[in-house]
Amino acid sequence: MTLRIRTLLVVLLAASCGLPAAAQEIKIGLAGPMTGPLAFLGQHMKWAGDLAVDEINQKGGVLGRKLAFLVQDSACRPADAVAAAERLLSQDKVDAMLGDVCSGATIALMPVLEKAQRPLIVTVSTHPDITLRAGAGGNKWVFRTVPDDAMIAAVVAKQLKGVKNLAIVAEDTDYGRGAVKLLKERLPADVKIVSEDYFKQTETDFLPVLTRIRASKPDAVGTYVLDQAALNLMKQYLQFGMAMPLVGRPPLGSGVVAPVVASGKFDGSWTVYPYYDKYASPQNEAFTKPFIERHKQGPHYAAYGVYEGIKVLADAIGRAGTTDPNAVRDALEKTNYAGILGPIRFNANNQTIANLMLLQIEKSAVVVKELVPAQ
Amino acid sequence: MLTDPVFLAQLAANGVAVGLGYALAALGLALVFGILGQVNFAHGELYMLAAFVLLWATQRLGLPYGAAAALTVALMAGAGAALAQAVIIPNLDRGFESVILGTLAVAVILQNAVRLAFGATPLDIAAPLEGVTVDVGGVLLFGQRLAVCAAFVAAYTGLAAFLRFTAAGRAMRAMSQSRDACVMVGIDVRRVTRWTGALGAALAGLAGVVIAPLFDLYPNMGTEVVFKSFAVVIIGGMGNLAGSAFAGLALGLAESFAGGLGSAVLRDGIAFTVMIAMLLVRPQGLFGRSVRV
Amino acid sequence: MSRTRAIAVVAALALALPPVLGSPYVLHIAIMTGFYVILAQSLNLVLGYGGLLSLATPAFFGVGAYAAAILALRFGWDGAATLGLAALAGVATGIAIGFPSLRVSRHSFVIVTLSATLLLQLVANNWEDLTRGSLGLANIPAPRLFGLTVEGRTGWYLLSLAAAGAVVLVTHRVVGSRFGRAIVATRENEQLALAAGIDVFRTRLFAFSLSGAFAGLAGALYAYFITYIDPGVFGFSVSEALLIMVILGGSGTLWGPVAGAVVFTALPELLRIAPEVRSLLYGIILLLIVLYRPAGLATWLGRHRTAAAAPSA
Repeated sequence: MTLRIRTLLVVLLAASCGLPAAAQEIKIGLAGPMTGPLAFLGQHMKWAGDLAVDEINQKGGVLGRKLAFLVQDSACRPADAVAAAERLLSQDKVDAMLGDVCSGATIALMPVLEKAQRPLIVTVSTHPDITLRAGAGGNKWVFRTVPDDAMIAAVVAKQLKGVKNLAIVAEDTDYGRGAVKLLKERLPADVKIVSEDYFKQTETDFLPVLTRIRASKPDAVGTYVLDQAALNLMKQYLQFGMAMPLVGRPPLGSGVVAPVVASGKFDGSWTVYPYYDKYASPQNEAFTKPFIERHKQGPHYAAYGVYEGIKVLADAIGRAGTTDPNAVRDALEKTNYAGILGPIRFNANNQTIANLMLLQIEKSAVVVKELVPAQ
Repeated sequence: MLTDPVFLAQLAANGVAVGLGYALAALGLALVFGILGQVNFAHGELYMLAAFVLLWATQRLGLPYGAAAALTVALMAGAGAALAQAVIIPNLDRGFESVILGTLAVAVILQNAVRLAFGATPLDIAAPLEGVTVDVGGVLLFGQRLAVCAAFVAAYTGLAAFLRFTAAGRAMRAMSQSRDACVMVGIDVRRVTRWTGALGAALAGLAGVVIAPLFDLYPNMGTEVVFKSFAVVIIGGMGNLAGSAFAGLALGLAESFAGGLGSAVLRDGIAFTVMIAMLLVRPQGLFGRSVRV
Repeated sequence: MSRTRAIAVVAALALALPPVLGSPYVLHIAIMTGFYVILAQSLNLVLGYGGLLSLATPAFFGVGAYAAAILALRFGWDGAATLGLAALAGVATGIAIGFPSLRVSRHSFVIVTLSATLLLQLVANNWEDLTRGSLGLANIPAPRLFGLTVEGRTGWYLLSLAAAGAVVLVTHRVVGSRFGRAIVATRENEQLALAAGIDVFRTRLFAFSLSGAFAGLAGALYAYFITYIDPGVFGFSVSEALLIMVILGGSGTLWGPVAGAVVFTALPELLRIAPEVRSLLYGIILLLIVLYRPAGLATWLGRHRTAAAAPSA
């Protein structure tokens, strides 16, 4: 009996020490939601990371060394994200990290990476706080390659000019509430908010929300939801026979809602998004074609984020000429990478001022109306 | 908005539709508790599994919705019997916490097995009545939701008839009164347990096949259902089928009006607040504990 | 060497290893294990000794975490007083939840404790002025105890170990006292306990409140350690893990839940090796152990329950 316990304990401790890392590879880690309500976003991020790493390795890798991409599940929960980062940093000894999706988890990761002195590239989370705390005067190790909610809100607010009565429906998370708050701060004076509804992220039944919206008689519905909720919302919207356009940030470009968009009933709806997988440009197609070949579906915005994040990292490491973290970080600050949507450069707060896409639905199809520079 | 009669009538119609859905979803849970005295934490996952089996039957086997639904319910009955055999029967004498843990484990297994099998991307089932909307004086009634109401009425009356008029049903009612007495008069307790498990799972399955097409499918969808079902069962009276039906309907209406006139937060909190209030004021629920039909 | 002595030696070695190994990851796990030991004992009091299946532990945990976070961020409190207040918040929550839920049947008790937890999560999500809602509370400063700031893995490990040890000690004392015997009596045979003059309701309420204190303390420590909390701390998954730890570790024993906490904090971390399959394996292991080894790890270790029979249904 005692022998069994001793063995058990020894095995547990030995296993947790882990094996020494393979010296040759450059390791990039990702903490993301592999389980939980956003698991399919995590799935896309993993696919995109693998694709980026394979492409770079096929061209000879970086500094003559191959890249390795390691993923740990954070379930979008801050504590799990911290544990995932711990494992990636001290067990797998990654040279840099990407993550997370949910802003809460990302914010929890920031001090961990600062203490470990490794770069963190934020490729999805849009909460402005992340950048407020990064770069000059803050956490020097955190960089964000996508615009934040404040920039997006400014663009949305401008687009809303002319809408008299606006209903708002948003998911009840830091993303939804935060984005709506930022929007309200920038809303043109003549836009009146006739109803404001928040629902939990996992909500599937929009009967009450839609009933309220229908009764408040808006001209447009400001929508701050993610793909899964959007599908349900839009399906049920059709059942209500409502015809007001969905505006703001509905995920119109996502493959998940493609069947409802094709119904033709959402013409006139628009959204401001950092990425759209069917954007017709040679550089984008160089990304999306192999992705579709591998996985039979177009890449989600989160996938694009990871793909470019890894390319930016690889570019910085190449310029630094070493994987020494300080050198890589300095190289990151000076990034001028030709990204799919325009040049990626970091300002004093390590934030990219990139282009945003205004997508609109015309004749049952999603069209890139214009590329709007963020401010 | 608050004084618009069409709006209020719509809220009422919504409430009835959602409420009968709750009642249908909770029926299986109430039955298992009423007869076996066990809380089945896998109830929500059985509902979820049924939705995914329906998806597989319609897409992979190419069956039309009706046939696929019937097949699904039959398969779920089998699953319920298996669950009863594997988890409940061995633990009949061991204390109810073993059954709770066991069914909890099954719930975790089912959730993750489905996730691995179907992936995490949300999926969609087309239902025949999906596009049908009936406009009654400004109040909208939705086809598939009417189907849910019809399914509940059918299930409830069917169950009532079964319990009252068949030998198996009588054996179940006897079991709910006293397990030891059953043994003494020669009723096979294990058989009754299997039957109850099967019936409970079939009801969860029926709820799954009619309600699932309303929304999209994802592996976590059972969690929400089981929490609501718990609230319904407690408010109605643990094990009281009529009580659960009434409680489900009342809850649906309360939530609809709370959400429509108040906020979504109020709506989400109502189920639990009413439940706790019920326990403070009248712990046996509105109708008390019994397998009353 | 007697079996007990052997186990004690191994345990002491195991305790000393993490700081010696120095790996921040192992220390992180060890620190979290300490917190889970406290939480497991919290549940053990109500479930193991009291015989009541409670799903309220995350409620106390969350309340303690938010209490500490709010006190630290808004009022700059960061010392032992905050930990004490968090524990007291746990007690208050225990009394508030215990009052309605301890008067009803054992099955309803399960559901009510669950619902109270979910209700608190709803409150945390929506009382934005106090909790910042789903945005959560970030940058919680490090606590200062006896003039020293607790930072660095080793410091936290010592604190976690000390807190866990204190909780186990208190549990030992309580269980051995008159109250301890009363609680066990209510578990074994409620009618007989009543007949013997034990105030069943008050005894259970006391156990429930003490369990609230433990979990509240764990919540505060957790908040200080992770430096960020959000309404997810009220999540049901904590209950899932704790149930496994206590019941499989050996509910109603002193060291069973401790062993359960150690094994089941390490196990999910080890199982990270296959992230997608991890949860599934977790469920399967749980089911297998419930079906084939329900008495738990404590029996494996040769310990016995304080009273003979399993709780009656």
